[in-house]
Amino acid sequence: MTATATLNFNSCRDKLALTPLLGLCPLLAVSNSAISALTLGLCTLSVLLGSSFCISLLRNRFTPALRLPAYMLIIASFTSCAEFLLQAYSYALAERLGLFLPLIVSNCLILGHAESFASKTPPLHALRDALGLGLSFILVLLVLGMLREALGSGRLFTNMDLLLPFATNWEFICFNSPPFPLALTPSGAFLLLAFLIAFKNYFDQRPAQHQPAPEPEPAGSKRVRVTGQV
Amino acid sequence: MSDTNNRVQNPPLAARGAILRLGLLALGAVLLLTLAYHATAARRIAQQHQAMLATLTTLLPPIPHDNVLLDASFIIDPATPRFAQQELLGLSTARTAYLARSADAVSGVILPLETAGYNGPLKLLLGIDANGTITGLRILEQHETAGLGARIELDQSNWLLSFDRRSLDNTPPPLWALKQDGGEFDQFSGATITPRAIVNAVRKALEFFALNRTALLALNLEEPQA
Repeated sequence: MTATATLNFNSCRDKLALTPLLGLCPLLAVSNSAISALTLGLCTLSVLLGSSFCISLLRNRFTPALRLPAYMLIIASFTSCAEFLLQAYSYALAERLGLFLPLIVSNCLILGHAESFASKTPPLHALRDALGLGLSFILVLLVLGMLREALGSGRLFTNMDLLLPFATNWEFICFNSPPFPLALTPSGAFLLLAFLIAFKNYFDQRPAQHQPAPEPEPAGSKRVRVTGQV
Repeated sequence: MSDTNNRVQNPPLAARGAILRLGLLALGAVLLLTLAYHATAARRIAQQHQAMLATLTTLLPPIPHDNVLLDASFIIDPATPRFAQQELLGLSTARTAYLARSADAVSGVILPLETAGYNGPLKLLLGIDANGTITGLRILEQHETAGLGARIELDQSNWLLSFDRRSLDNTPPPLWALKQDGGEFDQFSGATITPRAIVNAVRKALEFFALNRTALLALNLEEPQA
């Protein structure tokens, strides 16, 4: 139990730096409010879980030449399913995300996970890893969404009841006039994301100063490059 | 058997297996999508209907109506003039208007209008009661700058509500302007083009209603309109 938790936590920590850079397109486009960010994060998580499970189940059935088209097909199918489900749950939410909902297909985070992890591990293991990755993606998206909403529009948790029916009175006003309207634009998103990454790097490096010999990063084992031989 | 035929019929074994597997996968995907599509179809349509109806209803809060607004709609098409001075609405494409009825009389109308914003077209819906007083204004589509012009949106400011209860009678045309232009409507700091465009568009829509009031109130939509 403890071992599992540690493993999950480590895999989250490991990926948090990678997560925003692979899922950059939705991260910048949709994170202008907490509600959009959370909805897109949940959709991405469900696509990630479904496709990872499927790909892991079928991992021995596909030759390298078939892998990419097969993965794209599976991911696209799950994305369409997620879109149908969201439209059935709340049309207003689906409208809000607009084009970025079908664009989950092109989120390299999912394809990267499929290629580098799900295609090499048994289904349950792949599911657990997908869960960790998806949750960390939601976390980054939500933090960025809240920051952008609070700084850019001066309010927080507007329209949260679209996703969570009990959250009717969650909206509160942080600033009477928006202190940093730029935060709502993509350029503002880039800036805030840079701050988040810098913040994370700072915290990652701090404990290293106290440890006498930080473990050297094994070269080439990071999941930055996901283009193996196809 | 010719040589070409032979090649087509006997592709390499590995390729045949690959085609078969990919085909099976595609079949599975089709099945999954068909299932998901049909399982959610009813709820998706209901949700869409409900979202549109909710928007329309907020446009007419003080107007009593006993009909379903979505059922009493008619098309205003800029290509086929049907009303006097239709160009006052600024439409570039055919849009839907809605009638509110109460006890068989028209109690209000929801008009579509369009104007050029800072970054593209602004598409709006305007609720007007039978006397020409505004009951609500909502934005259907806008491409304004986030944090500046986009603050017209209701979830970011109450500016749209400042149109409620106004009419050409209680606000004469010279006052249909921003405060900085000597009118009665607030502007946003850093964004005057968007609010100015909307104020003008709404005034023109009210003029359109005044011109066509009799025709609009006499509309009988019992027979389905094109």
